[in-house]
Amino acid sequence: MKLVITETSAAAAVVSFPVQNLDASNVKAFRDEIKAVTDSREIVVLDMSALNFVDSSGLGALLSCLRTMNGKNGQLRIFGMTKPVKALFELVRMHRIFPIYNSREEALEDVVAS
Amino acid sequence: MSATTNPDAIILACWAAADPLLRQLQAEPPLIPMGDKPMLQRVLEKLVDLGCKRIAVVHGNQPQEAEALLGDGERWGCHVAHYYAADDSSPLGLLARLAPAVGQYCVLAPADTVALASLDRNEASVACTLESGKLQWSGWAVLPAKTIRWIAKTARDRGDLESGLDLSTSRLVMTATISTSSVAATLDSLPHLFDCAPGAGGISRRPRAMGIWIGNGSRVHPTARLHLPVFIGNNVLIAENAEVGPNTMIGDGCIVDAGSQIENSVLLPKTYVGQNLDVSRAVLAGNTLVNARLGVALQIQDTEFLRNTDRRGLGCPKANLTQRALAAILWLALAPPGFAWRLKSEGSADRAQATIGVPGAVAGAYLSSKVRFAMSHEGIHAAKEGAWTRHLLATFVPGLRDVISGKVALVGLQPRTVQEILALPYYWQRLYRNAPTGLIGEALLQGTEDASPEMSHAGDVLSATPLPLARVLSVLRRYAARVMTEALARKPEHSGTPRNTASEAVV
Repeated sequence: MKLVITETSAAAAVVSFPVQNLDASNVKAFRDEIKAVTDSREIVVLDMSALNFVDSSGLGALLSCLRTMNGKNGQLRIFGMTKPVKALFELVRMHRIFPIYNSREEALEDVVAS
Repeated sequence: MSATTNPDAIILACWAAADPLLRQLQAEPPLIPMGDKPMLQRVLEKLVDLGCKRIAVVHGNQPQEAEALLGDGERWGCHVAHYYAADDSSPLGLLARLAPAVGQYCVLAPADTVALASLDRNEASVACTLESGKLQWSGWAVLPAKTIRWIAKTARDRGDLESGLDLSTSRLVMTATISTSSVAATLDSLPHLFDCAPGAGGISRRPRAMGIWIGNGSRVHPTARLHLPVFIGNNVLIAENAEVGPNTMIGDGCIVDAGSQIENSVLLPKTYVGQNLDVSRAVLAGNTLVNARLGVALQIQDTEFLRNTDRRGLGCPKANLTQRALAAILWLALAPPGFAWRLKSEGSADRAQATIGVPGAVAGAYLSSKVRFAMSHEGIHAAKEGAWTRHLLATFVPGLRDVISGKVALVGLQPRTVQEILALPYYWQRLYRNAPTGLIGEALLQGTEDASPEMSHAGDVLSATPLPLARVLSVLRRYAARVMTEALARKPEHSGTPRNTASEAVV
């Protein structure tokens, strides 16, 4: 999948998707690639602006990331959600679980400050 | 098709949905059900209420469904004539032919909107709504013949039609509307639909309770919550802990699975909503979700979230000939003692307490609970002496009449393959896990284990087709054994001490 990883600080990284879909066809690649980031960072920020479609396996992978980060007292943040993905998150109640920000700046505000 | 001269009203059903979100639902606005009837029918009924007797309908593409719905109008005491726009790009050209005679007026109405105001058919007027401080034409107007002819010559589409009506000089009638012209309009119409009296454009069907309409064959789980106003169509399943409403319309054949919350939304017919989902200000049709607040339409590929549902597997089974014959024989044998018992026990003060509770019969969802074999385990232990006898004579025997008439079958849990079970809603799957033999209540009748919450509400579960005869006889045998055991146990000890007849039954 080749996630685009931008390091903003030693503790945080922004991960962008190079594809429009996160589904059964590429979710394994996502899991493999994101693991390295979640293992090494305290704050992982997902840039969802390129994603237009997520299926249940994609949702599962995102939940798995969230659990991993929460398990090590880290944070997983999301910004740039497109309307279709936002509608799906609201449908399955995941908008109640994930910290969702309106922009990259908002998501990184406290990271940049520190 | 018969023609009509000098129509009192013209329904314009010639345009496809203008709202791109509505197009995603692949639903024709005039045929979208609003409550208990399609929108187009509401339009026609409004015109009839205004006194229109001769109504012309101008159709565009694929008019078959709309034409079949209205027919010749005889059902409503009017005459309906159908016309087909030869030129789809200019359907209004037909109006030249349909215009009334000089000096007369005609009501113009869209097929997807009902104006709730009363219009004077003998005076030119335009019905408008006020939205965000701006006047919006509702699509309804009473127009003189010359205006109709002018429209026919100059207007090609809705926009031309509206701009041709001079809202600043016409007599304005302010109104609320019920409309399916767009997703937002459909959702905004719901409060008006629920508030209106049946004769004024509201829902004609009698409500189950104030603000709650539940159709035939629908089942609402006892733990589900309905927040009024809510309209539930026919053959709908609302599963446990689901919450529906307020301002929500559930179409025929829908399923709302366990734990989901639906509010301010519309489910078009035969839509399955999976477990623990949130639907708010949206219209759902099959696997398509249109979120009106975000202005986006989604096609959901995951069938555990949303899908079309075929209700064949979940409907109320009808008795086949064998079951009806069996029920007739049983009724002939048991009706006389049942009648005698009723005469004898009439006026008994605590008869209700002594009756075994039949779970799933509450919430008014299932009309005939009389032939269920699933019993509340707690109810059996708490029942007074003679409870099985009472159930046989007061509930089972009268219920046989429904079986004889073919309305319902003798029920249980139909044996299904693993694939079929996995395709069922989740709370149905749990029932199969707890009753692997396929016969709900078997463990309860044997008295060998405590009832799980699913088993205690097993009355909700009906098989798709009547049970095989062997299973029916097996269940009847167990039932008869309980009654006989109770009857024999009562004879020597008629002290009124409650007995735990359930655990003593031999099955």
